[in-house]
Amino acid sequence: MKLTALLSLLMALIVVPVVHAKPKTELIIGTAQEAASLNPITAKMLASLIVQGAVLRNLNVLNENVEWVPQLATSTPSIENGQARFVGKGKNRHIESNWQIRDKAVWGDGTPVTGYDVAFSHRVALDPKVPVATKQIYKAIKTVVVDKKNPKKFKLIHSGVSWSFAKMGDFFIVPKHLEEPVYEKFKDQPDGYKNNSNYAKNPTNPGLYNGPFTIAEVKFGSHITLKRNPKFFGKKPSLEKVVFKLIPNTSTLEANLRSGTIDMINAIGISFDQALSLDKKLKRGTSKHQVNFRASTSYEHIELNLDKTPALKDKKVRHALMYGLDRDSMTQSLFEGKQPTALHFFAPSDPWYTDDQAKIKTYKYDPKRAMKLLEEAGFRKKADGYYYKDGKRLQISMMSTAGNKTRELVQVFMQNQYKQIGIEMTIKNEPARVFFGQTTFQRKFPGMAMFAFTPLPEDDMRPYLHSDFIPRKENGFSGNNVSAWNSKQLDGILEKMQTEFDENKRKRMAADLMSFYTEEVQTIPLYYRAEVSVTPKNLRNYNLTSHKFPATNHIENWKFE
Amino acid sequence: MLRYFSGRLLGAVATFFVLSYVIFQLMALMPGDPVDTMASSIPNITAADIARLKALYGLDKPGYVRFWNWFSGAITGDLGYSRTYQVPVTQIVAGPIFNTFLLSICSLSLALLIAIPLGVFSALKKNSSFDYIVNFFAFAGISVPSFWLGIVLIILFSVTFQWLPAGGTTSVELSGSEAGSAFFDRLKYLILPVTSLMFFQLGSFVRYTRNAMLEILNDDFIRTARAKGLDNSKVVFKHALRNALIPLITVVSISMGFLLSGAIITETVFAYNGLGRLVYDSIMGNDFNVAMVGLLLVVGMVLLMNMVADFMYAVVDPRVSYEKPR
Repeated sequence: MKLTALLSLLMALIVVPVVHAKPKTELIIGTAQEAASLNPITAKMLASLIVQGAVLRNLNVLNENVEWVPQLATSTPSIENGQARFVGKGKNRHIESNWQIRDKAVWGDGTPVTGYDVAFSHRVALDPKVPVATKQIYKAIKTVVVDKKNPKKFKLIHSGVSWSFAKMGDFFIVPKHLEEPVYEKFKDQPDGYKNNSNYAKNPTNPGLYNGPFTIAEVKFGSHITLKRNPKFFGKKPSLEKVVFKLIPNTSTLEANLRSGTIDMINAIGISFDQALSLDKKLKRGTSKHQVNFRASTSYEHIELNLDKTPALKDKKVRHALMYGLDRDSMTQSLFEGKQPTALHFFAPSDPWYTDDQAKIKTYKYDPKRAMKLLEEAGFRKKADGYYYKDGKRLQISMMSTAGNKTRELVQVFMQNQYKQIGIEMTIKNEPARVFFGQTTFQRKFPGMAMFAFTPLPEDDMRPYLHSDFIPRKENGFSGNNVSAWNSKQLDGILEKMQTEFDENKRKRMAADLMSFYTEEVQTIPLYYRAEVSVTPKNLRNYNLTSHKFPATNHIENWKFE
Repeated sequence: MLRYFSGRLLGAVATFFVLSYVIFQLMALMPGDPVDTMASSIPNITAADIARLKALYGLDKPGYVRFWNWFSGAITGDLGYSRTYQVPVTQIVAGPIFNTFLLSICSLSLALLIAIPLGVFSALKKNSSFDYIVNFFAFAGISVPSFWLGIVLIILFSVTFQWLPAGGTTSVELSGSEAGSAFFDRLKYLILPVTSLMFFQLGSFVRYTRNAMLEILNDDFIRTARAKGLDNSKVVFKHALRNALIPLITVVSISMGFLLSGAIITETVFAYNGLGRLVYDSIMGNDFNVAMVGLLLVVGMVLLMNMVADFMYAVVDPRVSYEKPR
């Protein structure tokens, strides 16, 4: 009897460590923002995109190596591979592309994903009563023609000709067999489909998802639990369960990580300055976590309002602003080089990026040159150290989002540097909803507005630079051309780029664009923002992507060692 | 008394209606409507998209029309949908209301349970070491910012000792599990936020009780009671404390009025899924229907607790009467 007890004890001592040594299969991710809506067609928040990345797959997506890779589709059509062709002439000229969905691709309830789902999603997204923020990607497709013999095959008849016709990352697909009855019942009510969709009413129905995970539980204001989808067509995920836990206070996210309440902090958790300080703390000790930084396509810059500050109309003054600001020193001292100095709107990860000085104008810090340029522009320095013209001091007002510590540090740095060359910079910040909701995008800021926009690599830059996209009352203040770039030359390049199918020619046009942009300087490039996350050191295959398609699009590869 | 309270109730209903209109219009005045904010983050949104979305959400209509649409729905029980979560508002607010109520009632009850005896003994032992220590902690409770105390508690009990969870409302693993373990799980998550919230209330309640007791203990009727040879505990707890409770009722009633809204900071620091945080998030996120309901619940609670306080005065102090003098 005693021997049996002793053996049992020994077994327990041996077995218990073996059980604990098994790799972890559950991951709790701390997030500062909630994935409030799960319907991919109507949700546009980054927090929702992160969860959707784990539970839904698109036809194709941009991966962490900045390459478009097929997800649901067997391959991405192109003119070269013969899956797409030009049809028609003149105004009717358009592209038709042939797609095929993977045979094994099914929804979580076993129903195959087919072209009918694509056609249904297209119809829903184009319905004016369905609140899709931007219907551009859906409008770019005229019709979806499904092969009746093999519904896995379908043809997209595109509305026109664009070299980027096959980039379908923003074309979201929902299951027709579950969503069509809801849509038909509520389609006549404003918001009827959105509010009654299964994603809102019954989000744990596995049939709504075709990704590596399905939603197991949704607790608003608390967490979303995902469980492995046994019917996923791709690689079986190593993780069995993933939880997105909402911790809205970024200061306590770190405490939650250190106390073991959460395993990692995702890309919408802590701010850059918090990440920098946490990185130092973790490196000092023997922490099980690491902070990941990756320069993203998010372009932090200053838009200039030439209409409200006449001095800025003079290109010499704008050049002086560039020469008078030591941006390299700024990114080194404030960000330890983890947010690199921006030359223009294309980030280093973008295939169109160039730092070739033969192609673009670069501005090395040169305060003497800056002051010379100001004098050439007719300004004279007075005893108080500031430049004046027609009795008026050269004063520029700078606005940004209140409470953003990184931006406030940049503002103070700039204020000091511009003071040294004789320009007075005043700072007036506003809460984000006022700053973005009205001031910036209705062009009410007096001189400078500092914020970021996040284009995709090889993106269509018309919304930021084309004269049609200058926010005006007449166009309902739509468009992001806040600096009011208004140049026929620029418009021409931007338009031609969209229909140019030769990759090398497009690259040359992109260089022309950057050349114009860096010469005219209606915008002051600052830095490329870093994407940050905190992960356990033993979590493998997790990579920040540097663009808007999140790391969860590859969650099936994540595993603990 | 019934007549008095019926009048008060009617007044409260009218106040509630007026305030709901004022809150609605104030929210409508906030710069950057949901579509403006959305448009700023979507570079290729078109003017047609913006016009379509504004019409869809009724943002193109005048404020009074929008209020009437909302109010006529609300009185029939249709509080609308959350723009953020895309589910009915009732579904969104039910959980957080309970959570906040639980958090606030626990902290308030504990604060009263501790504060009243401390305040009484502090008054009885005026200027003693005990009194000084109690006063020191009472002032500390009033002065220490709740977010700071919250973070200190997290660092101490969650990070250093790892005894309690750093944040949340319940464990993820235990959601929907059997009642017993769910109760203890809930308790585990309540300890730190309740302590943080209670500390502030404790300080002010101790001070109010102590001051009221000091004043009452010097009154003639207390001297008379003592002269009659009444037992000291009877004098203190039956005669003095009952009278000292009147100012405390006012303070507690005001505190209870803010039961549903007063814990925003605590809820945010502890990632506690409560109403205060929900209202704050919905205002910042332009989730109009949720914010309206949340704010009106707070207004309703303040009006209700004021009426309860009036009623309690009559219960505690027989001199207070709402009958018409004959």
